[in-house]
Amino acid sequence: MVSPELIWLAGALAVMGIALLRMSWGRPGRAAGLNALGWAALAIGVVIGGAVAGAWGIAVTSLFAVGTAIAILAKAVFEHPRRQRPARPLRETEALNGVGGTRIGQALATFAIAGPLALVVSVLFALAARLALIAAGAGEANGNVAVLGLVPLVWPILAFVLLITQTRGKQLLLTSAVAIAALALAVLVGGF
Amino acid sequence: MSLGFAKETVRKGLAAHTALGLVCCALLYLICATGTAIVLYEEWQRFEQRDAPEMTAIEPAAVQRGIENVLAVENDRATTTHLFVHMPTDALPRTTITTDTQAFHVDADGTIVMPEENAWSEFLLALHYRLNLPAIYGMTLVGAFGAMIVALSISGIVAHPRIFRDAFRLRARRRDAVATVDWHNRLAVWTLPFALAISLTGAMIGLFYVSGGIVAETAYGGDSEAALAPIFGEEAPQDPASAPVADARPALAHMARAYPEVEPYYVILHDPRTAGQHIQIVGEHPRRLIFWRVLRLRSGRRIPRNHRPRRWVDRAATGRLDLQSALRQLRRVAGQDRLYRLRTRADRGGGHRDLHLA
Repeated sequence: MVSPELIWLAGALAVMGIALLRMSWGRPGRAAGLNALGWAALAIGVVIGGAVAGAWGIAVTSLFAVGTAIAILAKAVFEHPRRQRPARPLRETEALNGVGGTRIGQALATFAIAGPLALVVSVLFALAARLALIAAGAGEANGNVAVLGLVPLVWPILAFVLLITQTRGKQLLLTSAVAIAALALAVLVGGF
Repeated sequence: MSLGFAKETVRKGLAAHTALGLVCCALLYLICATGTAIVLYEEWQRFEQRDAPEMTAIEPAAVQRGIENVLAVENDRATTTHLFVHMPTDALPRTTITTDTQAFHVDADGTIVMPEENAWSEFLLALHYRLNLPAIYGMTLVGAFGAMIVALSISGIVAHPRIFRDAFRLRARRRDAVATVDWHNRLAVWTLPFALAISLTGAMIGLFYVSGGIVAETAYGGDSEAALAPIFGEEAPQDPASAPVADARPALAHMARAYPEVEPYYVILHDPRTAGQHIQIVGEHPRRLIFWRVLRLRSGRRIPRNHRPRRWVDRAATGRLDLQSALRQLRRVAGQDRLYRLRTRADRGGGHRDLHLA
């Protein structure tokens, strides 16, 4: 049994880790040693937090880290720039360019592929994962929970990959590939 | 230090991030703003009804009196299928008894004082959970937006090649768009772990109708109860034969004796006044994020399945499985909770149906 008081040590390490990283990243050059120390302090803090109180401990340790970072940033809010630079407009992106005429159709098609179609493919993927898990000896409960967990995880990842895929053909190829792989896996493990 | 994505990938990632943000921002704002407000759900309830009786604790005997008083009030109608007793907690130091149709605050003696009035809190909650739409559409939509926050987080990471190097850079005093972008990037980066945890779990809950429904459809012939049974356990068998109302006192006494560190804050009677009635105790565990653990007890002995997850679904007044009700209950216990099920088993021979605990 790990002492509950060690959560304070985890928090202190998280604070120290953020402070070290601030020092490291604030230097003009690369500071590998400080970087390593900072990340190590953060990692050890998270491990101790997890050992003390599981997910709650990790969450609390993370709060220490995030709180420290926000405090450091709060200082930056009040710092005036040394010299006022000329105003710089936001970077334009393809998505911000004017959408009109035929581009509306393109945008709707992209939405349909990254939205509903990607969701359907994600569901197929999750169902195949369920069958594979159960075939590999996992319990039925774990298999069913895998579906509940995988759909909201796979869908956004797939949607993002589709959105950065350039051509419509590649988008359809990608969704088809995932769907076919899922169906093949399902057939392979005897799901159909 | 950078994440090492190619320049073209970063450009595409930024475009995807912007497109997703533009499509989702309005409703996401509504969902996130109400989600922030609903963190203060208990405080809103106290604010809405400031004259409701409050107490730091309530005796088990008073809980039992409250249950019997509320059931007596409903003698003129069909007995409620479920009865919830909210026990006083630090956040909401009130004892409130809810049936299928109404809710009452009771005092420390278990006497009914007034009906519960928390329409604003419930409105906020429903807005956050389902945008006040029918549950199947609203929750699915909110779940989809949760998934889109995950996509926004991923695309944001890809679109931000100097994510570490710029982690402490906040040019808030600049009078151009750079200041706004810095605010956006710094807040997003530092809250990323929590944003991912919240959006992913929210998406899991919201997309339950899709993911759970498809499992039921493909593997269980459309039987959602059967699909959930391996996860949460099967529903206790119903027995509509008449019975005296179950006694919550030994259940609470057992909790105090066996789990002194746990703070029970819900007592739930399933199918009260029937031979199939059983009691669940929901308890808050200090320093834990776990949802629940189930302890089943009957006739003075524990069924040795206390670590196995059990299904916890609710049945609406219609008697049909109602996922919305189930999720409402899940929401009630979201956070540092475990669920204990203390189950009575009717003694058909003697008609004795109180809970007996060793």
